[in-house]
Order: sequence, then structure tokens, then C-alpha cells
Amino acid sequence: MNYKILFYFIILTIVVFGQIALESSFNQIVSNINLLVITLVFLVNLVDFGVIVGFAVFGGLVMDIYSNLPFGAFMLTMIITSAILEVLFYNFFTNRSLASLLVLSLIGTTVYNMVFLSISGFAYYFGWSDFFADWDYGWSFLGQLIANAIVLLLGFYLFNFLSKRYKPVFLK
Amino acid sequence: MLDKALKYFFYGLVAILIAAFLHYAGITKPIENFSFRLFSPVQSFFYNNFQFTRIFYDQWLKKSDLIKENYDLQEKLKRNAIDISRFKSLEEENGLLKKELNFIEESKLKFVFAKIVTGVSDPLTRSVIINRGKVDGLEKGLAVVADQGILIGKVSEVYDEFSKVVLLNDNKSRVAATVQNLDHTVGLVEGQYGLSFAMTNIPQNQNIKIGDFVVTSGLEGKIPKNLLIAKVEDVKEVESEIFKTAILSPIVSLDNLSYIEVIIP
Repeated sequence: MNYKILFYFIILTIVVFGQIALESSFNQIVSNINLLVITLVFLVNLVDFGVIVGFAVFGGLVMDIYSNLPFGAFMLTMIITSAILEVLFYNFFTNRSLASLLVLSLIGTTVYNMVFLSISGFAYYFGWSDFFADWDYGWSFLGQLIANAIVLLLGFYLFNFLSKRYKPVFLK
Repeated sequence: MLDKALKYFFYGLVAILIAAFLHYAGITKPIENFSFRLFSPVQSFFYNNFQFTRIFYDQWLKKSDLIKENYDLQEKLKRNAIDISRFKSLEEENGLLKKELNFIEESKLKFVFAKIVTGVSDPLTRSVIINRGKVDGLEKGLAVVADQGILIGKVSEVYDEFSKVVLLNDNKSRVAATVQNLDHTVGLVEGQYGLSFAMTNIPQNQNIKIGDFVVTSGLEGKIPKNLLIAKVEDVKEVESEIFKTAILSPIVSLDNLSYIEVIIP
């Protein structure tokens, strides 16, 4: 059990620092990939919600430390996104098919951005932060939807190749 | 199932509230500084590799651009050699005149050399994290330069051993500047969507030419005068408006930086 926790911790740490590296690459295409949302989509299909909340808080915490936005913005964004993905997975997208995963990634990316922009907008409105998104962010959001879907597609086939835990489950 | 999930969600929210409270109370600053120190080699590795990939693409895969650039640079070098000889004689003359007038010695600026560890994690700002902080004498608002004189940004947040720097091309970046022309036009250099920057608030009657250099005006206490910012690339003026805008082209690329200096006045 302890090894499992350590394994999760190492993998999720790599994901979080990978995300910071992508974001800080100043490359328009690469920085559109949101590894955090993609990982959340995979996690809701695989592990207990407790692990997901742990990842949301830990990942958000590291992102907040490396960010210029008000502290807590990423943690709140991550935990709300993970809760919505969990509810959607258990009620609507239960079959672990590629289509379900892709829909979850599109919804996850949309929710993540909506929550993130709401929190940063709220902080900007009340003068707690100098930074707020401009209209150009809309293009970045569209880029995120496409980039996340592509990375998730690759991840799905890689995961299927390496493990049998991700075979689609259809009710007859 | 729902009860269990709600319980975890509640625990998560409590953890976030505690973390935010500790952060704003300043209790976690040493821990945050420690995490920067702990992960800076990994972050540095990722950042440098991304930089290397970008430079490889820009400099090796676009060879035709390089040949043209090389030719242009050789031409510039010839013109600069003439300028340097004139500049040296003027400098000598200036030194002699200052001596004659018994001028007070100009204040020497202190440069703190720093390495960029990584960029920041949020998509709304153009910032980097450097490996110098309070212990090196850094404070919020100090000028950050490349090549000992080209302004690239300002220090925005300081930890014990690390600092965050907002780059000039960030949307929220504002620096008081002067154009090196006959009018010594004063204005504000503002970031433009993370791509470039422009000088705004320039009165319509000011004469600005393409190729003019823009430098810091010295109106901001912590930023010394005459630090080079950019070159005027284009001037946009609408007759019905009070002010005009100069589109600037950066002297150094802000996306490919690895080492910088912070100026302590």
C-alpha cells in the first residue's frame, strides 16, 4: 500500500512539474497542453476519489507556489474540476470507452478554464491581483481543447497497450 | 458513495483553506522557498531543454534566415566601427570636461547576476523565476536587465533565495520611458499580449522616427535612467486621438533568456 502511495506521488509530481515546464516554455502550441486536466480524466476512471482530491490539492499547491496569481486559485480550480468530473463519470460516462474519455476531457477542460477565469476575474475585480485574461485567451482555450484531446487519445492507446485496466466496459 | 466523495471534497476544501491562510500569514514562505530550492534543478533541466529545442529550431532549421542575418550584421558591424571611434573620442572629451567642472562622481550601479530557473505556472502572465532573492539584496520593483543594460522586466515577488520577474511583454507590464530623439519624448512602455511591447501616451506633436531607441526615463525610483528597452518599429497615429502609439521591437528575445542581471541602485 505504501509503495502504491509512493508510486502515485512520484508520477503525479512528474505530471505537475511537467505542466509547469510546458506552461513556461513560452511556446504557443506546447503550452496549450493541460496535463493536469488529462491526468484528472484518467484518475477518475481508475482510482478512489480520495486520491484524486489528494492530487488536486497537491498539484494545485505546487502550481500556486509557481504562479503570480492569488494563492489558492489553482487548488480551488483543481478540486472543483475533479468533483465535477467524478460526478459526470459515475452518472453518465461509466463505460471507459475512448468516446467517454474524450467527452470528459472536453468538459474537464471547459470547467477548468471557466473556474480558473472566474477565480482570477474575481481576484482582479476586487484588486487582489493585477492579472486577468484578455480576449486572446479564447484562442488559447480552443487550443487547449484540441491539444488535450490529442494527448488523451495518445495516452489512451498507450495505456491500453501497457495495461488491461482500461478496456471499455459495455452493458449488454 | 456520494457521502464518501463529499467527505473527501470537504477535507480537500479544508486543506486548501488552511494552506491559503498559512500562505497569506507568511508562515509558509520558508517552505515555499525550500520547495523552489528542492525542485529548481528539475525545473532548470526542463526549462533549459525547452530553450535548447527552440534555439535548435530557430537557428539551425532556418538556415536561409541565418545567412541573410549574417550579411546584415556584417554591414552593421562596419557602420558600428565608425560610430565606436566617434563615441570614444566624445567619451574622452566628456571625461576631460567633467574633470574641468569638478563633477561629483556618478553613482555606480550594483548588478546581481541570476539564472532563470523556470517560467511561472499560470497562463495569464509572462514571468520567470530566478535564483536570487532577499539574501542577495533583491526587492520588489527592481529593474532586471540582460547584457548589463537591456531592460527585460521588473522583480514582482521576492522570497529568501528566489524571486519572480514579470517580463516586459506581459500585458500588465508598465515602464516609464523616453525616446532618444530631439524632443526626448516621454511615454509608457506596455506589454502587448505576451508577444511584444508598445510605447503609449505619446503626444501627437512629438516627432518619433522608425529606428529611434527607447530607454528608461528614470521616473520610477528603483529603475535607473537610460537603460535600453527597445527600438521603434512602427508609429501608429490617428489624427482624431490625443496620443499616438509606437510599436517597439525588442533588442533581445525575451523567450530565449537563460541568465539575467538585477540592478540594485
